[in-house]
Amino acid sequence: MYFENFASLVNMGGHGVYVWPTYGLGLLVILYNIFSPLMARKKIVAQIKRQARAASVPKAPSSRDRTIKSKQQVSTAESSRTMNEGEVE
Amino acid sequence: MIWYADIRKTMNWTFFHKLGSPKWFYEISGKWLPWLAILAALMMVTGLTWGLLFTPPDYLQGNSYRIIFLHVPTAFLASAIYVSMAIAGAVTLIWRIKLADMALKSMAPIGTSFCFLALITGAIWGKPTWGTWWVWDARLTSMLILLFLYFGVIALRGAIRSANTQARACAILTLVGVVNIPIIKFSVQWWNTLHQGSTLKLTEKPSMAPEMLWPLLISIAAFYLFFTVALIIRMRTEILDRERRTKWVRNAVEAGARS
Amino acid sequence: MSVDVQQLEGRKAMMGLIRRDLKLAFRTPGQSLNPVVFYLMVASLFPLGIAPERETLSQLAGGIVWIGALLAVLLSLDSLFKGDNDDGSLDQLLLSPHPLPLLVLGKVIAHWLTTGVALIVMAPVLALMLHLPERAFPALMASLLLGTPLMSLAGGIGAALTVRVQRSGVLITLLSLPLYIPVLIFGTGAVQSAVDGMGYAGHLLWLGAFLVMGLCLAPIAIAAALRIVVDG
Repeated sequence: MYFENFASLVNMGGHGVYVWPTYGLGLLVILYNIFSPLMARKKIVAQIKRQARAASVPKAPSSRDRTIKSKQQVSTAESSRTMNEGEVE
Repeated sequence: MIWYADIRKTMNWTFFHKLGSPKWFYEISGKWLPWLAILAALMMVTGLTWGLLFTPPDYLQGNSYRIIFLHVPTAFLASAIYVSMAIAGAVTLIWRIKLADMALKSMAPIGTSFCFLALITGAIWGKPTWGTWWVWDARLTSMLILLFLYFGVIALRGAIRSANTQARACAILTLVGVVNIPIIKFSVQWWNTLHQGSTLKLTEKPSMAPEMLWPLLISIAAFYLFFTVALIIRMRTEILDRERRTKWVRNAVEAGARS
Repeated sequence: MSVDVQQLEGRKAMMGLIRRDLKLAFRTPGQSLNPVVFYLMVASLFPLGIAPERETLSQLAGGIVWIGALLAVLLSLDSLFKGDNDDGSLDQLLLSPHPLPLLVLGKVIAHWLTTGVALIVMAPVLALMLHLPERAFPALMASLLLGTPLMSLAGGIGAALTVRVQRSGVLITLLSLPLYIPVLIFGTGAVQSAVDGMGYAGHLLWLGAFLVMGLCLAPIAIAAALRIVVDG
């Protein structure tokens, strides 16, 4: 290490007041880029779990329910990959 | 000619389709993510501590040059990420692959934060070097305009409701921006040489001594990896969000999906 | 022969569109005058905000006149497609058999004729008020002549992308400004060069090159953006 003691590490020949806040800001940006995606993921996962629970609450089955559910199952698989509905090439 | 068409039909399209499948991406990235994250963390710590503590001070700039280990990687990545966004935008427009749009959407905040950091580190570095907190030199000014371009893409995405329109509108905006970047760089460079004061040569990097070059290279690679890790996490969340109605997503979430 | 007929039809359609837009603009002269009045007001802000001294102002005059024109064009971009969008003629435009880039070029030309030209006419008045040295006037006019159509073209992209967005005023500015910066640099560069007594042909040539590029590429981008945003 090019610094003899902790004091000179903090001071850095007078430039410490520039270097350390810069690295602090860098740390903040890195932390933002770690925690922002993780928190977004937690939120979405919780949302999906809640929706799945609400959907699976047992209701008195009616013929209307059955048709709505079957339509949902069909439409999602095809549009999953591309934005066009139907075959791609 | 027939065999050529047949090969194209079978090989390229299946390969392409697999690449474009959100489910495939989710599963593959899930396997790679922990290793990439560990590697990124190791390289980041190595590069930055090496640069911060174990390199000799610069004979001209003293210890303030250590900011370079943050400034150069983030500046380089800010531009590289925008170009990647443009490529993703082109893929979105030409082949309509949703995964490309998810990539574009996920890259934007990361790129913006890196651009912002590059600007601030550049500005703070300027103070001990030339005595002012900001200087209108060519590179910093171009980076400022790049920040405007990033803000534009994010603002446009927020302003449009439909996901499909969002995707293609942001793709066009990014492509127009990427065509504009060389023009901006050239114009700002030219403008700067007109008004340049005598001493300002921030952006002329002297050839670096090897003891300083290695930690710099490691830092650049570390930030690249870090960008990839952050991008993958964001894209996985985006996939879960957009594909929430499919069975495999519901199963994955039930199974207690961790990142 | 059918190709020629199509080209002729396309050009006729474009001229018809220009004529229609000009007629509409003359029917509401107030709306067309707004950018000009704004131009005058903004240029007056600078002496009020900085200093009324002749020497200071004459150094800044080229930049102020140019930036004022840029801001005035930005303000007027909102009306490029919004009016047509509100009364349904934008959808009709997209349905027409003529090539959309050509029609879009017509709209941009009409926009420039109603806004840019007025700004160019006002510019000498402002330059006088701001004490721009007389030898720089030709450079100012020439650079604005090349720069204002360029700004209408580049701004059209932002206007097209945000045509269906509510309250998109600032968003258009945000999207268009990065495209305006090279134009501003070379436009003011020409004026500054003339003030210093040096040649400014190079700056004008660069502006001309950008204009040619813009004339070729911008209508395509604007047309693509309109199709994306309107058709969804």
